[in-house]
Amino acid sequence: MYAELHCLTNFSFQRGASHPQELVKQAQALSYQALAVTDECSLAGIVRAWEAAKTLNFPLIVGSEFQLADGGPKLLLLAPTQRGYEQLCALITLARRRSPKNQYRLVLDDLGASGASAKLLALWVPQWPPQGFDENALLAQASALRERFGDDGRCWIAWERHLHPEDRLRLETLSAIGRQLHLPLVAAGDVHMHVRTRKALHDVLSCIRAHTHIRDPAAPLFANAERHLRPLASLQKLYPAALLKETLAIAERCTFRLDQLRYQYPGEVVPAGHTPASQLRALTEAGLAVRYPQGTPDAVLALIEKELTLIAELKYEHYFLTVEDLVRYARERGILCQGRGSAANSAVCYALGVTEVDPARMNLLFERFLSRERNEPPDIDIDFEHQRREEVIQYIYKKYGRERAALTATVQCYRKRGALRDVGKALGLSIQQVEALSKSLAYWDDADQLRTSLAEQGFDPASLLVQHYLALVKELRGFPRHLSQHVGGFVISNAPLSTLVPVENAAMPERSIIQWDKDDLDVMGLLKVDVLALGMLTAIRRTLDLMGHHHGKTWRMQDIPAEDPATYAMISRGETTGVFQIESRAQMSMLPRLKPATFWDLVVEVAIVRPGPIQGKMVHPYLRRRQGLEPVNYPSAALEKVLKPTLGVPLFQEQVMSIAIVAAGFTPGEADQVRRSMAAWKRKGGLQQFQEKLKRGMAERGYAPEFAEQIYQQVLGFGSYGFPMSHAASFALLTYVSCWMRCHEPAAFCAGLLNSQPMGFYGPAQLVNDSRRSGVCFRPPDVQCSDWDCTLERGDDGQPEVRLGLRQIAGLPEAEAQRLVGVRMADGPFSNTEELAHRAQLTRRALNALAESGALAAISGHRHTARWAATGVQKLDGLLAGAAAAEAPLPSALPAPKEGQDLSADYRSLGLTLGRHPMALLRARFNKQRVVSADKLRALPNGKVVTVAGIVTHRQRPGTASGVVFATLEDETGTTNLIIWPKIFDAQRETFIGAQLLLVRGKLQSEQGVITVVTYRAEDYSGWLGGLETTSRDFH
Amino acid sequence: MRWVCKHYPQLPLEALAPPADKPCAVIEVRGSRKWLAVLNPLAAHRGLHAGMSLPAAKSLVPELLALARNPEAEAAALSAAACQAYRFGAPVTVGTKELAVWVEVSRSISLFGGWRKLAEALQQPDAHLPWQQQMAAAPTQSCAYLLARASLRPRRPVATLAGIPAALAELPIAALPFDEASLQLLHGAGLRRIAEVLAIPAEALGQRIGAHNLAALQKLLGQQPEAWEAWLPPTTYRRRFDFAEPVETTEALLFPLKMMLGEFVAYLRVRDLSIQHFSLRLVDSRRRVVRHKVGLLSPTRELPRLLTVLREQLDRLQLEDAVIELSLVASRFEPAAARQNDLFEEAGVQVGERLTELKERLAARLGSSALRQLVVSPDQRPEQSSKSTTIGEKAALTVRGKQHPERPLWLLAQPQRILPRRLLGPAERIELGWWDAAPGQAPQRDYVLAEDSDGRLCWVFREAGSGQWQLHGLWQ
Repeated sequence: MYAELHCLTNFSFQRGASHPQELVKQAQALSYQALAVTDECSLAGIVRAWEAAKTLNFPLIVGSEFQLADGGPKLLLLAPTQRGYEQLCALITLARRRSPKNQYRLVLDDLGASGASAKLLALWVPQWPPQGFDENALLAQASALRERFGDDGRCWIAWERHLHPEDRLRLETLSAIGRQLHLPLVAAGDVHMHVRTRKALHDVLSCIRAHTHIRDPAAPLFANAERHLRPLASLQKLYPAALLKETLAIAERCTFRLDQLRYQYPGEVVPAGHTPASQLRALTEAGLAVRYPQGTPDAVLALIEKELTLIAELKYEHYFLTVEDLVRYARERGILCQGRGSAANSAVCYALGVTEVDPARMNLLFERFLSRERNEPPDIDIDFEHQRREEVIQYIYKKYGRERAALTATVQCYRKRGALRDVGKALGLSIQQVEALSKSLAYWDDADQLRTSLAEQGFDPASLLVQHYLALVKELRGFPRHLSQHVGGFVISNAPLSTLVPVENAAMPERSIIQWDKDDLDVMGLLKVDVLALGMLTAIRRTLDLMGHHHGKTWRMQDIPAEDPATYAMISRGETTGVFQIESRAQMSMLPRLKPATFWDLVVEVAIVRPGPIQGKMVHPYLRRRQGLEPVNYPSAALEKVLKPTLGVPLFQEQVMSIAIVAAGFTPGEADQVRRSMAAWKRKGGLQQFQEKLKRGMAERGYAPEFAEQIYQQVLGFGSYGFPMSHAASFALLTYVSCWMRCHEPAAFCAGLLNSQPMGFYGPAQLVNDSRRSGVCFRPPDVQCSDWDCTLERGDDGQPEVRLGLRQIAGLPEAEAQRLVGVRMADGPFSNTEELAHRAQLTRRALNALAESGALAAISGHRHTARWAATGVQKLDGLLAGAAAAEAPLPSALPAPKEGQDLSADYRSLGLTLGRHPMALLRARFNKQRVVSADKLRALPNGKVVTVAGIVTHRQRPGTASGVVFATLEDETGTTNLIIWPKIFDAQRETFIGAQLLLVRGKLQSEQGVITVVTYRAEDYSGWLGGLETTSRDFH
Repeated sequence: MRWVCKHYPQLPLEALAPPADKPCAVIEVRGSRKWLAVLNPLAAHRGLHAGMSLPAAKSLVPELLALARNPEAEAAALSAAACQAYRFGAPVTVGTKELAVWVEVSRSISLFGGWRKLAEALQQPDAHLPWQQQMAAAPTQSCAYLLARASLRPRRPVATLAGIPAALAELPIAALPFDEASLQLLHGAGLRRIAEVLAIPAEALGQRIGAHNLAALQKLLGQQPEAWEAWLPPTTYRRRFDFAEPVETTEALLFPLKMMLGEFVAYLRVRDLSIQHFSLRLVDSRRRVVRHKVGLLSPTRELPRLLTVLREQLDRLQLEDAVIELSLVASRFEPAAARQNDLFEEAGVQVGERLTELKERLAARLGSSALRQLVVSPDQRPEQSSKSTTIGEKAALTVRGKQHPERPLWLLAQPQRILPRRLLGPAERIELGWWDAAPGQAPQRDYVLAEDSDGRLCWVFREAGSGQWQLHGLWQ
């Protein structure tokens, strides 16, 4: 007998105080006939509502609320049919796309224009001032809507009653307007929450929205909680029966359901004369011929058939074809790329060139690929060179058009910290109080600890304020706060996207996002391709180019020799600065213990230093077994098959899933569901059930409860952080390639890394210093021979040497540098600064940057004269340009800079020096303090107390290391790693954070080639650097 | 030798009279960058230095009191310094950017009995103006300023224009009156001492540092005339002081007040006036203004006497709230020796005072809390729909108009049970104020217009789940 036609969810950000699911559930529980979700100019919450409605088999009406601009009326638009839905999406898109992010603009004229809203139903929502109202203004608003919707009975006047003293008068007025304009009245609720008790949260949201607090008398709060889903009995008392009945008439007209939407894959990828299946098969077979020139192994062929059948069954051919198209485009343009993600874990993807993981060599878990159990679209992430991903994005936009391709949204939700802060502010707490409360953050999930901590911060846990605060924070957590842009998830459709889902602007210019996030896409069955950026791909491609150029032959990734012993020897020494994945300190310290000797070892290495295995306590057992300190055994023969490659210790997601299947009797689909749902269960609960099932299953099959518990812990760790084997293998391949390059082509590799900055763990100075220590020669930037990028030049011994590019020079714009290189290539080298400036049309800023960098040395001598010459260049116009008379020499020559001054300028301009290391200049002074240089530490016994000093290059506090800080010192001979325990760190916080040059006394730890100094005490010697600007990568 | 320059390097901090027992620093801001410009000894002792970024300084000394520069306070202090300089010569000129005061002394040297005596007098610490100063004398203003800035100790005065290059020769180029970019340029070319810059031909130099900087150099050397404006004391006196931290006690007001009075006395001396009536204006942390008129029995310009009087008056002053701002305002002055006035004879005040003055006087007599006015509040809760505020609470007064449905003006302090004879009109439901109730106990009331047994129009309500009507207000 009633359908609610006006209801906002919390996707009307800071307005709605209930989740879409809660509203749907409540509407059903109250025996409403239907519910319209009408978020303000948005459909962002509709899929969630739809999911709930589908489970309850409850009619959900799609609609949206708009406050028209330019003094127009407020109205609801409801979609009665699919055509109406498309119009609604188009109107929201129109209103959103022409406004900045988070805003919209729709005017009356948009509604009339060429039938843009011809299929929509409109409910006029009159706005009432607190006292009295202007009847004429109301009449004008109603007439305007009557004109546009009234002729064919698509317009109503919504009477929304929230217990105001003028209710009687208001209803009489609306009735009069209705009679005059022949518009029917209908009851509506302007629902903002599913139950009355959300009023407090709603008030808090209103305050957040208005940037005020509840004690502000002018805070825009509703007088009462009537805007909830009210019981039918109450509604009957409040509304005339005819108006309630009218809601049903409207609801009956709204027959559209979201599942009527049919997403169509883009058709371009299937050429004429092919079916999607035949095209995919053709491309796969063509790919196999390239991959296996000697003939495809039978096992792989069988796998291909199995995969193609499944793909056909689930109708995912288009998806693979779309991905193949992107990858092919990138290949043609020479952009390195590599796929990963669950669906990339397949022989088809290998054949299509999406991944490089050879199914003949890797044991892929088929269930990880696609599963019949979960009817979800496949998932492939493709990494592209970070400097060239934009080309791929532009290709997508060009190929499919901006109407058909857009980025997925990410719903930013309230987390603990944000909720604490915003609720605090809304309750009128001061910033200091909120900060103090935030300190109790860590104890949030433990009620007792939280109370203690609150009391320590000076709050009475029993006070009303704290009680409200805690309850409201709890309610607000998980509430959406705004939409943002997904890192690279593209949605592409055959028809314009705005017929499926509204599109709005992202914060980034020229980017648009749809109003649905990836979970919504899964539900609605929309295709998403993740186009991601990876710096190492850039570095590898650039290194390959440099190698090719230097050696006079083309190098491709597959030309890198496999299983090279020298490369593995280098890795085993922990010399991996700059390479992919295994360059961090944690990785480096693992390498000498693990001593990888095969590609498989690298795959393990990549996977092992991850939060998953660390949390599952699998790292040390594996290391011990690897080193032969512990026997390799298996819990059962069945599990031996699963765990053999990793010495009986589960390290990969696939293994953990296989254990659930083999040892606990899960179906493959169930096992995969476990992995996928882990993160959600951790948040919302549901783990208990799984834990019982796993342990029961394992007990039934005779496994010890301890082993079951261990597996359970591992699944927990893996749920969110574990690497699947295919993923690790994809990464390990890049690791191997980059290591091989570092080992055999160190000059090209370093230049490639420099040309790909910013990326990775190390900055230019550390990369160059590391390369110089391993014998690479560098040449300074020079206007006579440097390009924009770093290049290779042949040294006297024939070995490649790195010529630093002009890109290293701070403050030099790329356009001007390119112009300089261009005119030099065209018309030969420069004879003096004046001539350089005019030929290359340099700005003063660029000229000064060049002088500062030392790149003018060849034409104007040392930095002092170079700067003097650069600043003396005159601006002459037209014919006289470049013809300025040479300046008379100065009466006395400018003094040459001292070594320290040059060093300082090098750091300022290039961020590094090719001169002596600053520590070399200070070595004599440090010798007096008995400081040991980094290269000498190796020879000293473990446990010896030493003094070391160097420039701080890294400071880190890993989340997994319970407050321990790691720092790295660099001197002219190498780097020294420091461990700083929290107590020591806190005692000398200022020194550790502030110092550029640190002198440390501590105990040497030297085990299996891994050298660290456990810090006792530190002193800041930055003063000795005399203002030298070194940089450290801190806490990133 | 014509100009003496007095430079006050610590003035940005000193003008704010910061607490001496706390590390304090004045902060400069450009864009999002904030750095320490001037700091007190306590802050320097803790390892902070000028030029350090504020976050870095805060991480070293978390309790550092970071103060914003107050150009007004600095200008006021320089005015006082200018007043003092008048005693040694004329004209006087003030540089707020340079934090310096110049005085032309060529005619006063013989008056003081030679340069040495004059210099002694100039350096005599002035109890009224307790600021760190550096001083130098030279034929051009900018040379005098440069030398004053360059050295803490006074150096020999530069007597002639020809002596300027030699006096500057060994000083670092950073002392030159050039913009930062030009200084960096010269430094980048390896130049370190001013002599090295002076050795470069003017044309080559001008091409690089620009005409503006070259002109500054020529003014410094006396090769171009300097432009300056003679400083004259203003005709009314107004000095404002902003407290770095709200001050709660009258004693704490005394310290800055002493400094302000010192400046005031210097001003009175220059204009050769004395004072009998002036006012103090205090602004508290809720931005309420309290005016406090100070009257003396007779005109004076003696600092001790002014202090004594103020101390007495301050003792009587009740601070309701912490004070954040203090101003001294004087517009009526007396000749240096004026007739004694009666404290109670308030000249200039007419019998038919205007309303504001009446309110002020009433408030002064009865206490500001005794005088109230009614204002409408936008709060929808009936109890909060209007409130009485003290006079002058301007923020509340600005709220006007219809923020909620009509409320009766007469609300009962305590609602009373009632059995209404007749209910008139629909209910208004009000559910607010949950924040003052236990969770789940939020009040819910339905208000209705009603008629009581005497036929009076009244406003009654019923709580949720209760059948009992309560009388809350009357309309007539």
